[in-house]
Amino acid sequence: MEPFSLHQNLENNSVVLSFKGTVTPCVSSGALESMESYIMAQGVDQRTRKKLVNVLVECLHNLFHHPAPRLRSTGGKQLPERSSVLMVRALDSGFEISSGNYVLNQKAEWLRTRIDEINGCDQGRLRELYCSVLTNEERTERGGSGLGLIDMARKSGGPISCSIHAVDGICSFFTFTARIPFHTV
Amino acid sequence: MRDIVVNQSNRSLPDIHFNATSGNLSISGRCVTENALTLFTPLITWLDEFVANRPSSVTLDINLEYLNSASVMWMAKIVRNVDALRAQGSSVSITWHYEEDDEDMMDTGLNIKDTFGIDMELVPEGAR
Repeated sequence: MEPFSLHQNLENNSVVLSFKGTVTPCVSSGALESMESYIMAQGVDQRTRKKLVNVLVECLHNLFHHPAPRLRSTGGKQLPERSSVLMVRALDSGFEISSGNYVLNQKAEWLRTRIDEINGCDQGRLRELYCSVLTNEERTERGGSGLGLIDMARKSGGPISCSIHAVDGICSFFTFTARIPFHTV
Repeated sequence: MRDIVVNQSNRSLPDIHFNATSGNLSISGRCVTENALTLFTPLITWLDEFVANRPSSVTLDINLEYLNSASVMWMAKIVRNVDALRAQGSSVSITWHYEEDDEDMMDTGLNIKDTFGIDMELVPEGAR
């Protein structure tokens, strides 16, 4: 692909941040810094800015902690290790954060079910779910929390959309998108 | 026991001041680490020893701009461990500071407070 075409494609789709590869703590810090510089320069209101950064943090955390399973596809082609994508679009109504990574098929279905469950909750029920996960000591000890998706739904205030792109009998490419509307007084 | 004094240059990690002599404990800044286990395990170990020494007075101030979900449970654990000192007769003050228009950070503090029945004050501060 020719770089100018890539640039135009990103530009035409209002993409203000994009990344493909392995998310490391350095990548994560760089992405956050870049995004914060952008939204400060654009004069985005504080409330929207904080929600955007919060959701972006959770997306990056997810990509860091859930890299691609180290498997070969059925065609014998090595899947790019830990390859994931992240994209932030600046739309007229707010921001859209999307991410995608390889996951095992059964994990993809579990994630979709979990997201459907979360999307079906009002803010009150989301709070109950959040608090019930908060009391789960076992998750704390493992270092993960399980709060990420609930937190994203709470902070974005809207449904999370997701899709599963079949790769082979083992893996799928799982994507999800959260939207942060501009705060209106 | 040694105090913990960490002024982070990394924008993903919080400043931490745990003073065993004064009983003043504070966590401030940003806490969006990818490795919550690594950050919090030494703090919990320190708190265990601090609690075992039965301090007469403890003040915990949490004043965060960002807190990721992986760190929330650990933060709750710190708050609970400090709150438990009341049962030992310690004078305990716990304050959850949040930017005045940051309803998400306020909710996080409120969720910890309500879920675990913590006596914790939630205090709005001027925006940074």
